[in-house]
Amino acid sequence: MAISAGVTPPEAPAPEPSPDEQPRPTWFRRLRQGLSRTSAQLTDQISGIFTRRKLDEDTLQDLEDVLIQSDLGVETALRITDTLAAGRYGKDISPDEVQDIMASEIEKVLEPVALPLELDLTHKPHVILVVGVNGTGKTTTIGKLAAKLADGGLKVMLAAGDTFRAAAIEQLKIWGERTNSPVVSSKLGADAAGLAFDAFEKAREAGTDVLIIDTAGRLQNKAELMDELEKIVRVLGKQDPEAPHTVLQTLDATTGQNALNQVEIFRNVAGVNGLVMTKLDGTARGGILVAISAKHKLPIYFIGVGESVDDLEPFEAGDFANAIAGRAPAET
Amino acid sequence: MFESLQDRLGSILNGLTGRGALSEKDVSAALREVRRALLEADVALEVVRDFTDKVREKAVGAEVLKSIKPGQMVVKIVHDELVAMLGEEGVAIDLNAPAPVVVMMVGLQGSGKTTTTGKIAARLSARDKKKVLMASLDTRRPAAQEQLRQLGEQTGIDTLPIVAGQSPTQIAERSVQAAKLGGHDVVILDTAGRTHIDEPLMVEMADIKAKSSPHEILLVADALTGQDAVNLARNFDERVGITGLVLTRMDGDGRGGAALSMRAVTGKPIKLIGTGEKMDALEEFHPRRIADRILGMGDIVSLVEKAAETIDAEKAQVMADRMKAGKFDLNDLADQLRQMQKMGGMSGFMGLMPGMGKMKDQIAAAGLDDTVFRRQLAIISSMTKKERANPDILKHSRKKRIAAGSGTNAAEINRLLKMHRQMADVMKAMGGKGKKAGMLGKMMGGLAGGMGGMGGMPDPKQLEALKKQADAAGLGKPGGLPDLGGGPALPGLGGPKLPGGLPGLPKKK
Repeated sequence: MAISAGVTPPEAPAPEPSPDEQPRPTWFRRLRQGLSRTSAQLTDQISGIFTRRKLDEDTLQDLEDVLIQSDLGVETALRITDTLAAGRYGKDISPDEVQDIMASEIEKVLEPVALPLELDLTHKPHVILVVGVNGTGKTTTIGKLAAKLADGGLKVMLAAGDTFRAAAIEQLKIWGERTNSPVVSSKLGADAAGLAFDAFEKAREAGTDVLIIDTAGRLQNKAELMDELEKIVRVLGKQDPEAPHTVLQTLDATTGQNALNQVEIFRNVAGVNGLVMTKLDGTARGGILVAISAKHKLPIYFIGVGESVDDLEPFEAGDFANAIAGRAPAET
Repeated sequence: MFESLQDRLGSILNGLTGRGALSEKDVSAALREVRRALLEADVALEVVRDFTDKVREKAVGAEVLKSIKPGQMVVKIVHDELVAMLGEEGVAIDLNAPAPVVVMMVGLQGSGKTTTTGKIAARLSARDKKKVLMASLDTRRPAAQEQLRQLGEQTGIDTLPIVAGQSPTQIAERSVQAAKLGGHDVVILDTAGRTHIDEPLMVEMADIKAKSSPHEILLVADALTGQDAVNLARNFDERVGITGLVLTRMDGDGRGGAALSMRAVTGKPIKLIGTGEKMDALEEFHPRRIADRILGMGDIVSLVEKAAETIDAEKAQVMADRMKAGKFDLNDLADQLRQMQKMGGMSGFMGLMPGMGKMKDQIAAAGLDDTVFRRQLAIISSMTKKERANPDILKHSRKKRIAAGSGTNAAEINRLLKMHRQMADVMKAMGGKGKKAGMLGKMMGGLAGGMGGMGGMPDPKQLEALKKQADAAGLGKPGGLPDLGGGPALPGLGGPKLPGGLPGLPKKK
């Protein structure tokens, strides 16, 4: 059976907010709220660029700048402006049109990667390994994800694989309590791979559907820490050749061009097969996701838009593209 | 993944041979590349614009120094301007206030506030012998207070006892009181991570400030931050008036453009940088190093530091003397190979040298990797003392023995001998002429050895001298360099010259 976690309707025990009034546009409204200041500025910029002008070199340069300010990176920004210019160069073009085209170009890149998280429940447990650089929101994402899955009626277990950072284990335990999920842990400084191995056994014995393993944050250029991560993956493979079934990498929306490097290396080392972009409730637009999607084509399962348990939303390519292009959401 | 700015400018401006003043056209061409390099380093666009405007102003009409290409002149101006913008001198945390001095840490979620709090406390306690109290005001993130408590335990720093149910402002008041009673010199308030547009939390932050009147308010920010760096720095500064910045994760492989962005929009100094996961991985900020990193120009300072760490200065001096005397046997060669290995091999060494990016690629393409060093060392290790001191006695039967002993073959041994002979010739040719110890002598033996002796780093003059020596030593002519790798003769070395004059390098302190 394959269930789609992203689509699973949230029911029952969520702490405060009543689950009924959680219509789809919520996250986007929140995202827009976060982006409102800069988006307004962005829309002004675009209007400013195009009110009196034809599509020429200067205009394209300005447009490129707008994209760069969303962290798309020079190369990706150039590619999009090139596409925009193709066939329209030298012609009059309205600001609205520009935003439309821009959004649709970005959406083209993002659409194929906006996928729901599919869990293959023939695996018992289905193992989700969560990896990423320090402070990108791994533990918080695990908490939110556990809540989602538990609400969907799945039996979830968490493993406190961050045995390095002070109180990381306690942090995950609190999320375990909040989501009624058992937490497998050892102590600070313990071997993370050994813990992952044990956790798998415990999860299998307990008939757990999904085992989510937290890992310590690490910079991708630290070879010894990346080796340690590789070992975790290897050891899990001894329990189930296909484990970990899902390797989620968290990315901080405020991160710049380095995020591209992060994905590249984590993917090579840990076999990342899905992304979560966190902290999209700020003013950062997370445009690097466009460059990452163009290059790696990894599914983006969720975005994090806040600190509370329900602030994990499925990724919507169109909305995200609109936000980057500074376009108002299409009210549905 | 990044091309260094110098490489780029090199390819664009190699054609320009104009001397005299920099023309508007030269500058514009160069600045386009500068702009892109800065953007790729995550410097915020508005800061890039300001910056390139400033550089343009300075550069147009500037005299091009002799022996320097226009592009390199631009790089020098860019570099100097970057350093100026980042702040010439490092600024330390200011504790010049009545005790307990309150230091407040603010920043986005996950920027590293708690870890930095622990690091600063450990530093103040170990270096400045201050009695420090740490208090976590983070009542939002699960186990945040517990995290700081554990850090305190690890580092032996006092932490404020956790009282459940208190608000951040209450904790702030309590920690100042506790510090007064406990005779603490410094109290560090670790606040919850907050998004700079989260109004209630920004209000809370201002309340905490009002209640605890901090002497320092440090914005902790991730060095990997992208374009948003300007927004967050500006907002935090507007709301609480930060006194300085701490950049974390400087040990990542990002280019750290956020440093420039935040410094530029707030005008506040970068006081410290986090460089690792351990509690002592906190360093002072060196504007020049960051400037080089943003420009992708290698880090000559760390090269020298690394060289000083790994190379035994005395040994290098002895070798330099021997070279001067024209002596260079296989023992010397083995020493040099080992030193190269210790410094991270050929690629590590080249990567640290500004402007050598291109050469590095070509060396890699020629298959001259570090396994070559290893095999060559194995060959030398399989020789007798007598053979090492006097390679001329190596005839067929000895070579056969050495090949068997080192797991190589006669051809490889011959290549090594040929390389040694050529190097010895170069040494001889260059030796005995006073300062001109030869490129390799200077680079491998002399560089660190001389450094150690002088207790400093090479200044631009020396580097220029080094480059001239490289030309003189025949690096400019194909086949001039000893055939290090055997087989294909290092194609790169014969081609593009080393950047003349290496402008924009940090000057000797």
